[in-house]
Amino acid sequence: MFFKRQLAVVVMIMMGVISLSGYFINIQELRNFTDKDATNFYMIIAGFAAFLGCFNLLQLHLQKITYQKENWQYSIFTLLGFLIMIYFGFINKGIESDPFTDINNNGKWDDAEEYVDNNLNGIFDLGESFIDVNDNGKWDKAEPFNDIYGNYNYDYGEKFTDANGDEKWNEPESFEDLPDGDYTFVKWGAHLKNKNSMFYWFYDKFYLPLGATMFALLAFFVASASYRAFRIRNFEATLLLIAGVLLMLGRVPLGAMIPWWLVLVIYISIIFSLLAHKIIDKKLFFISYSLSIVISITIGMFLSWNQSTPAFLSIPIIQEWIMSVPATAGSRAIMIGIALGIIAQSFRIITGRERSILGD
Amino acid sequence: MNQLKKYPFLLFPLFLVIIYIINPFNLFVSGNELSFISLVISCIIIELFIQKAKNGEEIYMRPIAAMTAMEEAVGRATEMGSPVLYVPGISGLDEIDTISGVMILGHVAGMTAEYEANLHVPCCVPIVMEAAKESCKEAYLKKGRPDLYNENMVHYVTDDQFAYAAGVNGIMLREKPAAVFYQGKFYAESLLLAETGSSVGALQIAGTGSSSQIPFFVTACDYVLIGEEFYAASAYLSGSPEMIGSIKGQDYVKLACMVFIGFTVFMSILNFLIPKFFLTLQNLYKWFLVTDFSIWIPFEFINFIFRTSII
Repeated sequence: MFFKRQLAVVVMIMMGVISLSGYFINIQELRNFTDKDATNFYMIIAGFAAFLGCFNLLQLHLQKITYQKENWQYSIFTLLGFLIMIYFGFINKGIESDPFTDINNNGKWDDAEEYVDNNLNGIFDLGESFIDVNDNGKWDKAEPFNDIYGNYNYDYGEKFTDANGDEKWNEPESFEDLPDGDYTFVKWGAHLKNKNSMFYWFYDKFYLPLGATMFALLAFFVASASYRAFRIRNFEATLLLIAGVLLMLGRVPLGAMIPWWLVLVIYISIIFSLLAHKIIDKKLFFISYSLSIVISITIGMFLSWNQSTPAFLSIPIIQEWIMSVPATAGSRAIMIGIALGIIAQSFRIITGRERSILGD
Repeated sequence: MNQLKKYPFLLFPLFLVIIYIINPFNLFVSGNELSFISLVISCIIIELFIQKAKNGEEIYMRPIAAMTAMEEAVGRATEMGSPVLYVPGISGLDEIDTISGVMILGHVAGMTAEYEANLHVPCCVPIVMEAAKESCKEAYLKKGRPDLYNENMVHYVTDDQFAYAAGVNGIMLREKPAAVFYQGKFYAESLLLAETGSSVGALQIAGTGSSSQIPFFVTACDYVLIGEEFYAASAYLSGSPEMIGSIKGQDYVKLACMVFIGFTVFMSILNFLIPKFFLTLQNLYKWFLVTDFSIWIPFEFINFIFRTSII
């Protein structure tokens, strides 16, 4: 019980205080801990938890298949996907290294001629014995190069440091090139990003299109959600509809092409639509509506709005104003609330009062 | 003075602030003074109300519709014989939103244990799954119903955002839950989930600290915990006077922010209308070493609150 309750609370409080102190106390070690080490701790713990996730997934779906629970057929696909990716990720790379002639019979492709390091200084010294792979009578070291294609091999055209001044990149042992014109050694892990590997193929042909499909569905959901939000039920919904329509119009080229008089008509129509339920006489409503349009357009022409359109009659400017003033004000209010909530929540956790996460 | 006598701990932060400003042996990071003062003020106010609540002072909390609806949602699920689906978001435990989500899960699990409703918690991050499992297990144990707890009620789906959305949508379409809770950190998948939940006719209650996702939840869900309500939910649901006191304190900090914003607006208008008067004011406060005193303090304070994420 001590480890589950008291110790957990002590660790929680301690880590909270240390993390907070790192922001205010000028001790480099403390800041290093909060900025780097604490994050690394989390990554390590999360890494181990990943195994638990995989085991949980396997256990759950195996159980479903074994006991043939409801919808157990779907679990077969889940497990198949899981096992296929494990196979091509851990067991089969899907691409092979280029075959090579093992001149010195050491069982591996050497990127430099081998030598016996007599004085153990890690570099070749004159007089040390070596295997002269290309029979030029001197020891050649593999020349460092800038791997612009990221395939861990020198490709023609890549910049290199010409160590022996022969104006070409020297490679000591010959190899039989399979696909790319260079010796390819596929490292474990690196094959996941290699476009020729099976893992990458599955990722590219199944995973990415499926993810993109889900993301694309968002467009349809946005449309249905907008429809629900824009339905005129009350004053707020009407405001939302007007703001939404103006925003949509302002964001497309068509919005800039709408003339000032049409925007004026839209404004008058909105005002009259809001007043409609208060004016019972339809004749009076129609006359006042038409008169308002005629009078306001005449005033507009008199004030030469066709030459210099005022900002409130330009849809793109209105759209910009909606985004930068009311929308920003609203979102900032929410953000201030969120920040205050975070402070209070953190205070409750650091002082050990909030222990719900431990099940208290 | 009476408050100081009653709550002597209020003097300690004052002492801390003085030490910070003096900064002996260059112990504190210079430039963060105002952040420190803002934080200390916020903490003092919250602590003060916690102590008040502890001492038996009555603290009124306005009812928050989304929180009262949580029990209603679980009850609905029980009556319909359908499960309760709880989605804790797609982030790890390094996000305070996820921590809040797991905390609320504890309370929801308590309700499902009490009502004998089925609970289903699909997780996106393994470490969250472990925390959620522990939270549920304890909640069922606390309610005296460990027999109802099932290891598989909290399970892992996948780490990928859209694959997770597809998985949870599949669960919704197959199981037709009567109540769906979205409590945690959400990104673009929020609308995919909420719209599917809406299409199966579930009563949906959302809560998130992602300000960009709140509009989507507002559109598709029945109740939404907006902004600080989400972080206060766990404290509110616990019902303990201490926790309620902290929410009250948080509200007072918000009031202080509003006063600062009002002050800023007033000073800016003053600056615009009578610049000479304002210049004289500025000269008076030259020792502050800032050019525009009118916006300095409140903006810095608000800026700090914007940037702060303590854990």
